[in-house]
Formats: sequence, C-alpha cells, structure tokens
Amino acid sequence: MRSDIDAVAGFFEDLPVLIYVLSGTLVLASSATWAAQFVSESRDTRSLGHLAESLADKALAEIRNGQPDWHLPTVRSLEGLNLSHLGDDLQGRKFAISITMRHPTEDFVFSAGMGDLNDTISTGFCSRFLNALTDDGLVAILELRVIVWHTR
Amino acid sequence: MSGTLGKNTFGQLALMDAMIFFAFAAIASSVLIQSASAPHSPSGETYGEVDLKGILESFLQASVGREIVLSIDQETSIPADAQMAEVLALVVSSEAQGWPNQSASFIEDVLARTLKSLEPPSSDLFLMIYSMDLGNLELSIPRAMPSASNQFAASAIIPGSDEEALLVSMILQPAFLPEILDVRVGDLDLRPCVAFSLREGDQRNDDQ
Repeated sequence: MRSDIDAVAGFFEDLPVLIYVLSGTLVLASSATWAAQFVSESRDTRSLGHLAESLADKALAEIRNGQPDWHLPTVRSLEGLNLSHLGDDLQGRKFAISITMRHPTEDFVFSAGMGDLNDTISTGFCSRFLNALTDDGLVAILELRVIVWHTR
Repeated sequence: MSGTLGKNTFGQLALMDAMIFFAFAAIASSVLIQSASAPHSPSGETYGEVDLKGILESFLQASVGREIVLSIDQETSIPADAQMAEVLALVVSSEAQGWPNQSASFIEDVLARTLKSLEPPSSDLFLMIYSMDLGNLELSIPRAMPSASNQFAASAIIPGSDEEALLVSMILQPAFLPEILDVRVGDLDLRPCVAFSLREGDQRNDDQ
C-alpha cells in the first residue's frame, strides 16, 4: 500500500516534467512540419517561376524565328502569333502569355492561354521586354508576360 | 561536504532539465521558422521576375515616339524615329552645344515619361549616364537621385555625340520591401496582383 501511494505521488510530481517535455516536442514537431511545408511550397513556386522563364524564352525564340537580334518583328505579325503549342511540355500545368505595347502607346497586342484559374495552388510569373516595329516605322517597346500555374 | 540527494532534489533536477529542453525546443523552432520564411534576396541584373537588362536594351533601341521641336538659335527637331540612345547622347552634349536649359529639360521630361511607362509594379526606375573617359555623372533621369539602398542595376555603353562613349546605368528601386509584397491567400502567391493594385492605388492618389 505504501509503494502505491509513492507511485501515485511520483506520477503527480513528474507531471510538470512530462508537460514541459511534451510541449517542447510538440513545438519542435509542429515548427518542423510547417517549415517543411513552406519550403516545399517555395520550391514549387520557384520551379513554376523557372518554367515561366523558359516559356518566355521559347516564346521570344518563336517571335524572333531564328532571325538575328537586330532584325525586329512587326507588331502586326505578333498579333497573329500562335503560341498555344508551347503548353505541350507543361505536364498538366496551365499558362497564359500576353504581349502589351508599353511605348510609344499603351496597347494590347496578343494573348494566348490554356486553362482557368479555379483551384489555383501556386503561380510562377515572368516578364520580358522586346522591340518591334509599328506600322509608322517606329521601334516600340513591348512587354511579354507569362504566368504559369497549377491547380488541385 | 558529503551528503545524499533526496527524492525531492531529483524531482527538481528533472523539472529543470525539462524546462531547459523546452527552452531549447522553443529557440530551435523559432530559428527554423525564421530561416525557412526568410525572403530570397534577389541579386545581379534581375529583381524578382524583372529582367532589368532587357528593359534597358529595349529602352535604348526604341524610337523616341514623337517629334520634338526645339527652339534653339534656329528651329531644330528630333524626328519621332530617333533612337533613345541617340537622344540621350544629344541631351548629354546639349550643354556643350549651348542649348537653353528649357530645351534640354523638355527632352528629359519626354524620356522620364517613357521610363515611367516601363516601371515594374511598385518600383521606380532611374537612368544615370556617365562619361566613360572622365567618369562624371552627366545626366540622371529623373533628376531626383535614387537612395543608396535596395538597388538593382543593369548597364550598357552607347556612343556619345562627340566620339566619347557613355555608360548608361538603369537602376531599379523597389518602392516596397519584397517581404511586404509576399502576400499569400492560402497557398496562392498573390504578389503580382497585389503589386499591381498598389501601383493602381498610387496612381489614383497622384490623380487626386
């Protein structure tokens, strides 16, 4: 009977120790889980960013069509571009490409895309600038924007 | 100095050990969270997704876009298809050519407006032109200088109007810190959208 009392008293004496150890372990485990999830999401976003960059480079290569850098495309030729096939290598991810004129006037030139934005998990974005000739013979500044995302 | 450790002493030691373990766990987890959520510092000629070198090259190669008529001693005009690089070289040499300040500042305004139209969301762009021979700052567009911190730059060399090469540096200064723009709703990264709306808000404030 004496030893039973000792055991019960010992348990209650050790309870604060147990609480400290358990809460310490819980804090460590939860922060490690959060950090792992955050790093994984960041990696995912970064990889989408790289994907957007490679898509933008492919689109630029398509626009330049093997011509040297000093050979400028016309704005009119960009309006009729077909870049939908660039999404073939995206392994189920969705994308949108748009080209807007930033100078000498603000104007929309072209857009292509695949997929809707419902249930988007993460996105990658990339922007590139290029020159093109307007109908007036001026050299315009255009911005090519690529957004890549994947859904649930 | 000899004695025995009582049961109570063992209990206190165990409690102290547990408290030290908890303190270490709290410190370790805060370090873990801080290091995982630290923003990646962009460097070189790219700031986040912005291709600064691409902006500079496109800017220098572009046409000025409108005919600029200057009243110097006789009426002079810069054609609309003149390259930005040529116009920059012309403005740098304007003082030597005896242009009135008004004419040079008019062209600078045109260049500043073009630069403004190329600014990435929530960022300011500055153009600094240096003489390659003397290393002097010849011109800055806009006139207000960027602050020394948080800058990202790209540069190119263009020919000056009197056989002297000029170094053109484009400096990007984020108006907001990147960590402020790291906005997420659940798992969705909304930085581009938020940056765009902040810029729209800025413009609305300017209009008012």
